Formats: sequence, structure tokens, C-alpha cells
Amino acid sequence: MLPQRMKTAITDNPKKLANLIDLVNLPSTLREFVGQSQISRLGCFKYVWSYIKTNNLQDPTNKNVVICDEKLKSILLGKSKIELAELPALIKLHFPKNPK
Amino acid sequence: MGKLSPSFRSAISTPIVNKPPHPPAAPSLLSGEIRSLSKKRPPKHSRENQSAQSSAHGEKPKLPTLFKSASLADAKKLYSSFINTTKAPLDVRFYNSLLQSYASIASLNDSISFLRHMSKVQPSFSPERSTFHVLLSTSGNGTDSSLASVRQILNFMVTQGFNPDKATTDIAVRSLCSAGLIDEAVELVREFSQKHSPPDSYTYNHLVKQLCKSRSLSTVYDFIEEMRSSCGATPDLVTYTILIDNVCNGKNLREATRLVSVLAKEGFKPDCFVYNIIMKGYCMLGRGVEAIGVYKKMKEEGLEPDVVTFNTLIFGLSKSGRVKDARKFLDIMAEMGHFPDAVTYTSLMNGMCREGDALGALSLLEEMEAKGCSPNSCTYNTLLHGLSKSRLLDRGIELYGLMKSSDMKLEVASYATFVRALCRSGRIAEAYEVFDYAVESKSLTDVTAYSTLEITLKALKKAGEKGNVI
Repeated sequence: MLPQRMKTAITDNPKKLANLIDLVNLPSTLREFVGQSQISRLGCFKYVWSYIKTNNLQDPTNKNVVICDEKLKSILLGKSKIELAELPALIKLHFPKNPK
Repeated sequence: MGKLSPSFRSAISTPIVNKPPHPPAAPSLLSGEIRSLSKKRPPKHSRENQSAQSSAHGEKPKLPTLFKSASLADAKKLYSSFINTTKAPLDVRFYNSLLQSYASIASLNDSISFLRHMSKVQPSFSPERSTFHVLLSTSGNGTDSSLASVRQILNFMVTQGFNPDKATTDIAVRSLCSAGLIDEAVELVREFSQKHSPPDSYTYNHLVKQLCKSRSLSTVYDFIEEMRSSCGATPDLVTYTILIDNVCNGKNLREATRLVSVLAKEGFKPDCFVYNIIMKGYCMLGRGVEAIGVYKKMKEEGLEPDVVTFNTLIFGLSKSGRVKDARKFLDIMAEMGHFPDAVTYTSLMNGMCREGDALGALSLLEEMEAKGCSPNSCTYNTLLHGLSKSRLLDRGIELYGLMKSSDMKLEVASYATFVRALCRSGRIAEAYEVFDYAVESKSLTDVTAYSTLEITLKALKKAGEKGNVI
């Protein structure tokens, strides 16, 4: 069984919630990809995931793997193949903890 | 589960106001609110006759479009077009419904002006008490509702020659409560009981219920004491039921027991509802033995347990891990001629899933459907949760497909366990797909759905690094 603490709702924690839904000024690579200058981490994830779906980038033999196209590669550390499971972590890289 | 039964609910909240703004379906307009308004007042017969007549006229008040703009000028224009197009004589119900549909979108001052305009243009229409009641009942859903606006209507009413009666008080209080202005409602009741008459039991109980919801228990007791000393309004059995329900919900069973003894002292005999509520209190704390004790006491007192009693009992027993007993009560229930409903079965399934017997729960689903009881989304969620937890993923996916095809919403717990189970068995893409469905069907907020997914994946990765096979 996975640890119990997983069940604690993120929505109860205002800091973590803010981290997810606050709009963030994007670095130039991501800006190009998303086409907006600001997006939240959640919004970014949804955007990338829908991008993968609309462009059929999932490996047809193993749906858990995404074969990146050039555009996607540019924001995901230049990898040509990623696991779907890594996606949230990879996107999180673009949203560093607030230095302030 | 331990909720109030529908019949009881109607006893404490008379169907007067609190109706959401009207859907734009015109025919419902005449019958809906106004009829329920007139329900409470004595001159029912004449009004019923009128309505019978008016429907005999052949649906004359056809209102294809209701008031769409809150502007007074538009409303007046629309009004005159109604007047000119209908030839049959119009009764007061028609005007009331017009006023109501306008007042539900317009500000109070505009509504009052519109009412004035209505009686000015059409002298055959003179506002009745019910007309003002319509105005009062809609004053609660505007943004500008306040005690001042209620007072304004009441004053307007008095100048037109109608003194507020008990129904007026009731409607005013309910509309204030629905706008969340409980203190103001209390103030209004105070004022009325000094000037006119004490609130009737419906108003009183409604107010107590609202106070229970949002204020501390001592405030409620103060209010009851104040009413007792100022105008002799005493709590009745329904009041006590509300109070006991409230303390039971707050898991304060000691206070509940005290209230039951007070209730007996005041000469009331606890009825089925009181027992159901006490039982619910025990069940929420997972104290199955006491819940059965309450059931036995009911039998001793010669009270006939109803569906709610059994549902509560089965819920409580399932929760405290006594599924066998719960199952027994399902049989007893059927013997006594009560039909187990979706709630009964879902509680029982929940209990079975807790014990890890998800397959048993699944077979109960078949049994339930065979008996002609259709499961609801809660049933499916319970099962999905149970199946995912017992690692019967294939059955879970099957069930999920069923849920998806009938557009059922997912609940947080079942979504989370299902996603976790999918991820654990390496079906990440499917988990993503469930995520999409949860967001699409608006079952969960984006944040909840995403954070569950993210945390699951993170935990999975961590466990993978440690070399644990989970």
C-alpha cells in the first residue's frame, strides 16, 4: 500500500494550491510552446497533455510512452522519448519554487 | 443514510420559498410558486377554483419568453404587450406570476415600481396579500437583499392596507435566511412578536434550524429561552428533533442524551424521527452496539421502524465492521415489508468492501438489480473504490466503463484509488484517461484531479527507486 499521507488533500494546503494554480511568467522556450506569456503549472500540464493527444504522440505499441516531436522536445529536456509517468515531474522543472 | 426522511423534511420546511429562480419554462410559472404559496392560507378553495377556471380557459397566459432584462422600461413594454394580446379576464395569479418572474431578476425598487405600474395600467388588478408575499419571497435571492428591503416591502404592504400575518412573517424570515441573514431574521421575529403575533411553529422551527446550522449551540439555546420568555413560544417535538440532530452531527452525544431527557420531561414522547436521529449519532461514531440498542428500545416502545431506521442501522453496522449483522437487518427489513433502496444496498456494499469482500459487493449489485432497485452513482463509486482497493482492477475497469457510458460522476475517493491502482499496474495512459474523464465530467476540480495523479506518480517513482514492488 502506498503511504497514508497521499490522502491528505492538496486543496487544504494553500501554499501547495497556489503553487499549482498561480500564473507564472514563463521562460522563453515554454512561452513559444504554449503561446502565452503566463500559465499555471496545472494549465501547462493540461496543455501539454492535450498537445500529446491531439498530435497522437503516444507510442502505439505502448501507450505509456510518448514519442516527442521537435516542439515537445524543446520543452522536455530534449528527450526524444518520455514516460507518461514522468510528465508532471518534467513540467515541474519549468516551475521552480519561488526564490523570494 | 441517517438523513431526515422526506415526509419529515416537509414538516419542518413548509414549501413556501427557497425555490431557485424559475426556469424559463412558461407553464410552470403559474402553477409552481404561487400554488405553494397559497397552500398555507385558508382561502384555498376559491383560489383552486380560480385556477381550475383559468386552465379551462385554454392556457391563455402563454408566456413564451419571460422577462430577460432587468430594466424597468423593458418590463413595462412586455407587460402591456401581454395585456393587449390576452382577451380573457386575468386573475391575480397571473399578475403574481408576472411580478414574480420580473422580481426574480430585477432590483427591489424596480419590482415595486413595476407592481405600481401593473395596477395603474390595469385597474381591475389590485394587489392581494399573496402579491406582496411573492415580492417578499423573491427578495431573498437578489444581491441587494437586506433587512431594510424586507422592511420596505412590509411598509409598502401596510400602506396598501394589508397587515402582515403569520404567513408574511414566515416568508420574510425564510427569504432572509436564504440570503444568509440569520441575525436579521431573528431581529425581525423579535419585532413581529412584539408588534403583531408570535411566530408560528413553522417559522420558529425554521429559524432554529438555520441557527443550528451556523451558530453555536449556546446562541440557539439563548434564542429559545428568549422566545419562551418574551412571547411564550415553546419548543415542540420538531424543535427538539432539530436540536438533537444538530448535536448528534457535532458528535456531542452527551448533550443529545440530555436533550432526550428534557424532551421526556416536557411531556413529549420521542417518535420515530427522534430515534432515527439518535441512532444516526451512534452510527456516525461507529458504535454499532448502541445503534442496535436504540433499535431495540424503539421496538419496546412499540414504534414501527421505517426505511430510514433500517438504512441508518445498516449503514452504521457496515461502518463499524459488522457486515453480518447488517446483512441480517436487510432480511428483517424485507420481512417487515420495507423495500431496501439504493442507499441500503450501497451502505452494505460499503461494509463489504471495507472487509475486502469486493466480489461479494459486486454480487450484491446483481442481487439488487434483480430485485428491481437501480443503483445510483454512489453505489458505483463505492464499488469502484472497493474493487480498486482489493486489486480487482479488471472488474474495476469494467465498472468504470459502465459508469463512463452513463455519464456518472466520480467521487474523490474512488477516483484516487482507481487512479492509484491503474498506475500501480503500469497502466499510466489509462490513468491519464481517467483524469481526463474526471475533469471533463466535472466530477472533481482540476486541482484535485491533477494533484492526485501527480502525487500518485511521484510516490510510484519513489517506491520504484527504493526497489519496492508494490
